[in-house]
Amino acid sequence: MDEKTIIVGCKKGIAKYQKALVLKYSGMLMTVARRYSYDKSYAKDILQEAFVKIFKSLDRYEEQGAFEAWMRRIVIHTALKYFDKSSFKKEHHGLENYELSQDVPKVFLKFNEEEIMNYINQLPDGYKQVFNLFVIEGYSHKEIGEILNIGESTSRSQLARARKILQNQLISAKKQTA
Amino acid sequence: MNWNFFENYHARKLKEYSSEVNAEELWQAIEPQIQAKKDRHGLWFLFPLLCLGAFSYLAFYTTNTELEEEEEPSMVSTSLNNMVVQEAKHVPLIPTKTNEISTVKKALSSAPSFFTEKKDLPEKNSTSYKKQLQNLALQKTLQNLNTQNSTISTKSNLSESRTLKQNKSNSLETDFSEKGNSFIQKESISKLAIIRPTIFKQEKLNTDYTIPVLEIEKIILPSKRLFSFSLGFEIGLGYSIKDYSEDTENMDLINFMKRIESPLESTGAGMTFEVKHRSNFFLQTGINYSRFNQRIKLDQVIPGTVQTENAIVELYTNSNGEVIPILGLGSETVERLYKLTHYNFHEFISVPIMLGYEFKKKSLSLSPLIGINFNLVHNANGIQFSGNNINSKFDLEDSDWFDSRTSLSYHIGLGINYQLKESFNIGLKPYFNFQKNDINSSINPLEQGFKTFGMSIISSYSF
Repeated sequence: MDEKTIIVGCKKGIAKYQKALVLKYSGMLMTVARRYSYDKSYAKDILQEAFVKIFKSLDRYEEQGAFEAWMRRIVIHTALKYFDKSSFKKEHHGLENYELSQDVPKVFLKFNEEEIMNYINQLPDGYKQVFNLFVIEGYSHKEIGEILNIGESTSRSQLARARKILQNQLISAKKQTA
Repeated sequence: MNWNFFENYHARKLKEYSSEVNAEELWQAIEPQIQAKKDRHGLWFLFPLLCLGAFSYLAFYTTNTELEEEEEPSMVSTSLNNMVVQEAKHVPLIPTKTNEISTVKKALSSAPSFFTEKKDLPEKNSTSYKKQLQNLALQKTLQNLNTQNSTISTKSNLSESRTLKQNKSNSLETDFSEKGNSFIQKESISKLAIIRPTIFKQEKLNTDYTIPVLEIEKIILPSKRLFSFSLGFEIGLGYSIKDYSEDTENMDLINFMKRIESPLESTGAGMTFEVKHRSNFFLQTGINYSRFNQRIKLDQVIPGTVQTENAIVELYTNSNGEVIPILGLGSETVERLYKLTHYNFHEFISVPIMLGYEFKKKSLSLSPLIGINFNLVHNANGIQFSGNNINSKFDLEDSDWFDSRTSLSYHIGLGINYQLKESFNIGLKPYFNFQKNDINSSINPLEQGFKTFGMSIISSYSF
């Protein structure tokens, strides 16, 4: 069943197509939900809530855009709302001038998705949110600021810090492996 | 390899990665939440209408029975007992020869009362009310006297006239001529008054003439009917002020960069049916159609894909274990800005139940009223105009826009009516409507109790 058929069927409220949509996209959207969650059980709740929103908002979806990207946004916003967008406020700022190491071992590319996701999930919540929004979803700092209700500079510092922590995690993981 | 490449590489992989999830179980949890709630709105929606209909029928039946019974002479007394008895006045009658006094007495006793049209009665508030009343009474009495003089000589005529035993309260015994009887029609009884004259005293002018002083013992006005009815038509415009400050979640969901929503503008028309008690309290119902229009202007960022030559299409691992990305033609997600204008239309069918009171002064009346509307969403649809001239119409699914298609709204209005003719009124009705609903969908623009100010033009016919 192709995407367009599913969308049209869902807009008409036909259960068969709604179920098809869940079956087709739940895996991909679960990945998104997991990246913003503490663990899988939270991710499952978020995904469930997000799907309800997707179905209820489907009339507003315009077919000019990428459907997957539209659903991802809903999952992201649901997750952020779920955790009340507040976690980053508990963390420290002040790394605007942090310089990343530009030299990354190519072996890092061998990490699979689950491993990378685990490392990202080990980041403090605020850093994780900014990292996910900026790096994975491609939001600008200005947009992140609006979504999380923080300043652009805060978003930058959170990202820098997240990168630093992630880099350290990967380096130590590599050492352990070696 | 630099850090940015590492990030982009894994970001791409993560975007495409599908986690393990029990989709069947997930669907089981979602399904009950997204299925449209089917309201059994039909019966309860009509319930208030049925109640008022039944009440109206009973009220009408009661009134109608009374009118029908008035056609039976034996029941006229019932009607007369309900009539309003006004003041008594002494009126000097014309000088009459002494030997004719007995004739006058006899005439009056045999036919002491007569009917006149209520509209012929003087205005009660006028300064010359008493004088006008006396003149009227005198005129009517003389007319009656003349008639009776002609019938006195033929007693058979009198015996043919109907005799009515009148009453519990004043034991008035009234004969009336066929002419009087002809007034007692179902249609005209409410327009009649009864004047009952009698001789109060006699004053002698001289040996030949005596002045009988006529007493207008009673003026009996028909009582108002217990209930009166009217049918009306109204058409109006409304304007709703809505607070969108809470409506931010929707913006997040569909990524509006800028969003301007107009207040709701509404148009409506309807039929009204009113039952008014003689105390001037009234109940009003009917059926109304209203249409709410909402305009939303927005800038929306919509992701799309474009072809690029620098996409990572493959990863190659060489003999040294180094992973080398191979770039090539592929797709890349980009965001485009669309300027859109949405028009959402919501059509309601409403049944109002209003309670009001009429303050009337001559032809002008003020009727404050308060009540509730039972609303049913009849239709919801919209149209969208986009910047690229691709316009589309769409239906708004019930399940998306309303958790329930039925809702309640509170209504306060003030009818300002002018009586054009005896039964025909026109007027204006400014009103305020507050939507107290059970619509609680988080994406519904009508979810918050919106307040509507409006003005209706009314015309009504009373019967």
